[in-house]
Amino acid sequence: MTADIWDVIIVGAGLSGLSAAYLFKKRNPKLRILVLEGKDRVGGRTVTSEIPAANGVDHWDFGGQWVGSTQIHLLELIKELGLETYPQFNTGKKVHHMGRPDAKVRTYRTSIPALSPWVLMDLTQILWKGGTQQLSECLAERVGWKNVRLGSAVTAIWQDAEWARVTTNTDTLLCRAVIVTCPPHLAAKIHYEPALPSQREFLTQNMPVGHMIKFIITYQTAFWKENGFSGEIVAGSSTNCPFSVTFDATSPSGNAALVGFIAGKHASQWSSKEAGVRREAVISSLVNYLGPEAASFIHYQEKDWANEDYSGGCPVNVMAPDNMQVCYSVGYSEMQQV
Amino acid sequence: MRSAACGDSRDGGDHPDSTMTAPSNTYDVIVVGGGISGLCAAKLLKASGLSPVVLEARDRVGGRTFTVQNKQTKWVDLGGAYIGPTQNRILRLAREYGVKTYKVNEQENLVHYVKGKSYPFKGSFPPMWNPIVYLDFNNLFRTMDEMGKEIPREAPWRAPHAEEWDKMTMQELFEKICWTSTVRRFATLFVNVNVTSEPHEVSALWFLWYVKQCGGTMRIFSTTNGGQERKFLGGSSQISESMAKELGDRVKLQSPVYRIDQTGDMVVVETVDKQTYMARYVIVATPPGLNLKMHFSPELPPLRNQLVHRVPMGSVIKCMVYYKENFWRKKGYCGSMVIEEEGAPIGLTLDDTKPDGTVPAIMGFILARKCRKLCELTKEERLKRICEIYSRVLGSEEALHPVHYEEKNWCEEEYSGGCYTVYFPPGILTQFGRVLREPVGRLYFAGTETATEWSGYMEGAVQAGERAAREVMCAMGKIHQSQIWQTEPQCVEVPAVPFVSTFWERNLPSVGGFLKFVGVSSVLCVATAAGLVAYKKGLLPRC
Repeated sequence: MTADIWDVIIVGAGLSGLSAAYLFKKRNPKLRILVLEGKDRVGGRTVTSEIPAANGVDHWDFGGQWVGSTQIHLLELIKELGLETYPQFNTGKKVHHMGRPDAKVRTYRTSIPALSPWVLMDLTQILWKGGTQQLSECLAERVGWKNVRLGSAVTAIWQDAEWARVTTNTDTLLCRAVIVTCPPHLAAKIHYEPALPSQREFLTQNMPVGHMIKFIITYQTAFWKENGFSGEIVAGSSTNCPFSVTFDATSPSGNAALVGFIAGKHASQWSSKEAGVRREAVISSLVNYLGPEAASFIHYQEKDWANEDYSGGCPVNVMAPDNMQVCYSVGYSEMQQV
Repeated sequence: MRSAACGDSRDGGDHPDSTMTAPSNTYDVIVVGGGISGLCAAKLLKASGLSPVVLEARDRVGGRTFTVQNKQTKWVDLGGAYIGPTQNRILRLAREYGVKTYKVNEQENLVHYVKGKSYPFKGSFPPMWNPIVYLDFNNLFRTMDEMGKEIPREAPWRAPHAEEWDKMTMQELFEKICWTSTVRRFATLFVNVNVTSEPHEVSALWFLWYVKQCGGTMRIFSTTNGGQERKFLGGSSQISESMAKELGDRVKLQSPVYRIDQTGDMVVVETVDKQTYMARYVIVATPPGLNLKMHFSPELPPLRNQLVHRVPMGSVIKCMVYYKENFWRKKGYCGSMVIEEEGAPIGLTLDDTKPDGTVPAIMGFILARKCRKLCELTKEERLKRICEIYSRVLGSEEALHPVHYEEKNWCEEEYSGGCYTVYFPPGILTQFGRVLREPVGRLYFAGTETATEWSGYMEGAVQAGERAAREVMCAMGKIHQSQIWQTEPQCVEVPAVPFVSTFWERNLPSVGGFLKFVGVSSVLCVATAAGLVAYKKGLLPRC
């Protein structure tokens, strides 16, 4: 056990945990803040990777990617950290395949009717250059990397009247307060003493996280644009098609790519198949919707978030029916110590 | 605070099979969880000549069974307590350890309390006097049993209508089947009592499976001849304690496991206080949701990883109110109450007086939605509300004057997460159910949730623990695959009497069927009458 006493220990070095740490540091640089992260990287459900592309290699986001106009806190943070955003490419024909399996594949051009996901999801149109994981990295930089411990999954939090004792796989740390920023199902990984109150127990048991596989496919050229397509496909009917949506994901430096999501039930079904089988199915569906050029891609890379240590799923935890009234109040009043 | 002193006398070398060179923390099998299931697994492994160790998070064994002894109660089961016919495995264990059973008192009348009135009755279910309600009730329970017949107990996801039923909640199913609100309300209580959750929370496929694998609606709900027929004299913890005694220092208390690493030759298991254990195989005998407490490397496969945070536990507070005298029996009541009232904390009670007539008490459950609401009250306030409803239902002022009270809110137990068992929300069983007991590398899964007979009960815990132990023995090449699943001969002392349905119960129509029948027959009657009149009046052409 170290003799060090921390003012606040923050569990989780995703955007939430690092934002909290950053805020503490801004308010009072003297505060002893420590961020503990289970993964060997910061960013949580945002992760940016380099993959082969038309001009060599380029960066793509395999987790959270977009930000919308009403997300003012995030937009402010992006500005403050001096990061850049750019609009999502969205012009051209969109492919819409909903209804029964034998439903007709339709295309449309507008962004308003016909259930464009952009409209439904508040036009989350802006990505930031160089990937979203940068945001966490910048925050970690400001908080000080020495105050962020990677590969340090928290295993137990023991509270007494005076201190909280936080145990990781390697250390035991003393602090005045703990902020748990990981999603409820991961907060359940921690052994608590005293045990959490019943209502909190209901909450962590009733907020499973979604199942999502995100993929990026890079191409020599954005052939869909040349053919008048935007790259947006909404596919909800075919059992042979793993993904539910795709969008154009051409990078700011011009490397052509598509991004797609295999989500929910499809994710559970397709995750148990061979990676090759899944890729074949994705490609043949793209050929079906966008044309034969879709078959000649440079690189296909996917990320199954259910397979990721200390995420277990993506994008968000969902609440079971009826639990809103029971649990909402406890959900966000964290177990502050001292 | 947890003591760091536990597990210091680790000793795996006391068995002739163990190699002399093995380090003292090395075993054949590590069992995570010292409830009935984990202990049964370890017991069987030890009896088969292997060297197991049981790691239990709490400072006691027994898991969701927990007997407390004190002056006021002699002994009281704060957790799982009831056993009945067809639960032959747990009965076999009890017999082995000389633990006797006794019948829960059901001599006098049961009471059904509905719309502020008490109706005494005998039998498993409260009688329905309104003929339409009776038809509806009869049809609902018959339909649930018939649907259950289609569901394979070992693989409910393979039922012919699995997808369709799994998309539906029990609430939706009740809305489809039931015509009367009386039956719908009772059906809600039926779900509350059996699985400590709400009809709108549970998948219809899962609930129908659950009832089926307990032997049907009659077996699961009945006291006499059903799941609540008996209790263990002296309490159910005796079973786990006897097994723990037999296992000796192979049971390590206060050893919550936080890490299971199977990347090397041996599986490494580490507890929160940094003790490490090594073995060739691991049996995880916790409710599936508690797998979350452990950090696995490699990470669990996607389906299991997602399953474990999709299976919440039911919610229940078990409450025992003690009285000076057994006043209810004097009034002709046995102590069983079926209470349908939103404002009442308790949904179901049973007499909890000791078999020799001492320590008069009533056991009651605060279930599901009510548990979530009332867990915030103080213990005193809960007792007050409980006594008030007992007083109204039993029509007795004496109920207001308890001499002692015991309760256990199982939702506050970190290493149970709730009681009695998990429930499956819609869509989960068909998508994730098949990985519930599918081994992951050298990890095997026990716990009552993985059972196929009386899952959710102590019986299921035994079945699952022994099955997991045999799976490991099969993996070691000690037994054949066909020996993994074994049936259990019937316990002689507690025979199961089949439930016989009457001709009318089998053949009476549903309300819908009855109305159709009435409709069709009145049309026919009118047509016949019209024809007759026409004939009499000579309006029809005669040839």
